[in-house]
Amino acid sequence: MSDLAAIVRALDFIESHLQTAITLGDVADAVAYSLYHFCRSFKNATHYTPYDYLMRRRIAEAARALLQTAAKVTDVAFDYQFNNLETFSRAFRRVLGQSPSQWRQQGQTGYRQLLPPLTSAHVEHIARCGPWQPTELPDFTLALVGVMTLGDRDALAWAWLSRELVGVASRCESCYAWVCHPRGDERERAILVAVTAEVLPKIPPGLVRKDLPQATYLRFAPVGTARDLELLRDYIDYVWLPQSDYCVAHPCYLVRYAATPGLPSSESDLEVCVPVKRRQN
Amino acid sequence: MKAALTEQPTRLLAGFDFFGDPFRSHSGWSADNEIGRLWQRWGEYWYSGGMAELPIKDLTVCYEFHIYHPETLQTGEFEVFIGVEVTQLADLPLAVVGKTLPGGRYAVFTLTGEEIASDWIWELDHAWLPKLGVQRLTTFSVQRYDERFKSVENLSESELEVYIPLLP
Repeated sequence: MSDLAAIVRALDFIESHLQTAITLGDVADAVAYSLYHFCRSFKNATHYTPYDYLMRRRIAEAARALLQTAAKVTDVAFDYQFNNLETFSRAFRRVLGQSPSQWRQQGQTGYRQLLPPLTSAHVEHIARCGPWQPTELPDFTLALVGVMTLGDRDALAWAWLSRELVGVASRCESCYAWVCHPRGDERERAILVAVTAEVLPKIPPGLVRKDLPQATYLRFAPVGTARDLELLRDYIDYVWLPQSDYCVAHPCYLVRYAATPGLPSSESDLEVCVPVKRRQN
Repeated sequence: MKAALTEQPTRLLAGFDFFGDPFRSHSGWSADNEIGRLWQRWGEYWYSGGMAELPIKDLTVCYEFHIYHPETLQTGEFEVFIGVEVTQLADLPLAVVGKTLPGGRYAVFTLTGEEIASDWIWELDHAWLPKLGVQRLTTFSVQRYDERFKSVENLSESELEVYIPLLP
C-alpha cells in the first residue's frame, strides 16, 4: 500500500471514529504502520499532525451539532470524546476563538471555519503541488476593471470581458477573478472577472471598476490546474491558515490567470491571493 | 536488514532532549523537523567546545532514543534524546542533560540505505521480533549512529543500528 493510499485510509478511519474512543495507535494499526512512521507520513501527506487533525475534525462536528441540535454542551463534548467540559471548551476556543456557548448563541458558522474531512483529492493535490511557501504582500491593493456577476455565471462573464478586450488584448498579460462571499458564507457568491485598470483606462459602459480592499495578501502558487483551484482554497483556509499567525481578513480571494480571457490559458501559471490579518490571541 | 540478540551494559549518556511531536513543523527525514533541529543544536554545541566540556567515554558513537510516555498513543508526542556515552553524569554543563540507558537484553537490527527511512518499526514488530521469538519492551527504542551513518542527505550509503529492549 502506498503512503497516500494508507493516509486516505487513515482519514476514512478517523472520520468513522469521531465519536469513538480511539488512539493514534489504533489509527496507525488500521493502516499497518508503526505509530512513529504513521505520524511522520500523515503530517507529510496532510500537513496536519494526526492528533491535531483528529481534534479539529471533532471540534468541527461538535460545533455543527451545537447549531443543529438542542443537545446539552456537556453531552456534545462527551459524544465527541472530550472527557470533560473544560477540555472541550479549551479546545473549542483554540480552534474557533470562542466558547461553545458563545458559538451556539451566535447561531451560525463563519466563513470556512469548520474543517471538512480531507479526501484523497486533497491529499493527492498536496503531494502533486505542495508544499506552499506563500509570499506576503503587505498593503496590497489592485484596481480592477471588469464584469461583475452573481452565482456561477463565470463563463458568461469571461466571454463578455473578452469581447470588451478586443483590440487591447496585446497590452494584457494577466486577468483576474475576484471572488467574494458577501454574506460571509458560501451560499452567495459574487465574481468580478477583470483586468487591471491600466489595461482599460477608459472604462467601457458595460464594465465596472473595483479597488480591492487594501490589506496584507498571501500569494500561493502554483495552484496546479484550474480544476485544482478549489482544492488549493481548501488547503489555504482549512490547513495553512489555521496553523499560521494569520486569519482571513475578508471573505474573498483573488485568482490571477496568466493569459488573456478568450485565449488558451497557461494553467500552470495560476496563483491565488488571500487577504489576511494577524490573528488576535 | 540484519538481526541479532545481544546483552548490553548500562550506559551513561549526556546530550540534548526534546518532548513533543517532532513532526509538527516538518515531516519526513528532514533536517527541519524537531529531531533534525535537535541534531543541529547538538552539532553546534559539540563543535563549539562542548566536546571538551564533557567526560566523554566514546566520541565515535552517538545515540538517539525515542522514549514513549503514557500520552504518546493519544497525541503522538514522545521524548527524543540524542547524546554520547560519558563516564559520569555528575556536574554536567547546564545545556546538557544526563540519561541512563538501561542495560540488558536487546535485539539489534542493522538497517542499510533506504531501509533507514522505511517503516522499520512495523517490520520489527510484525516480522522480525516474532521470528526471533522475543517480545519487546515498548517504552523506548535506541538508534546507534557511528561512522557508517553518512548523513540524512546520504541515506543510500548509510548504515544504522537499532536496539530494541526486550522483555526478560
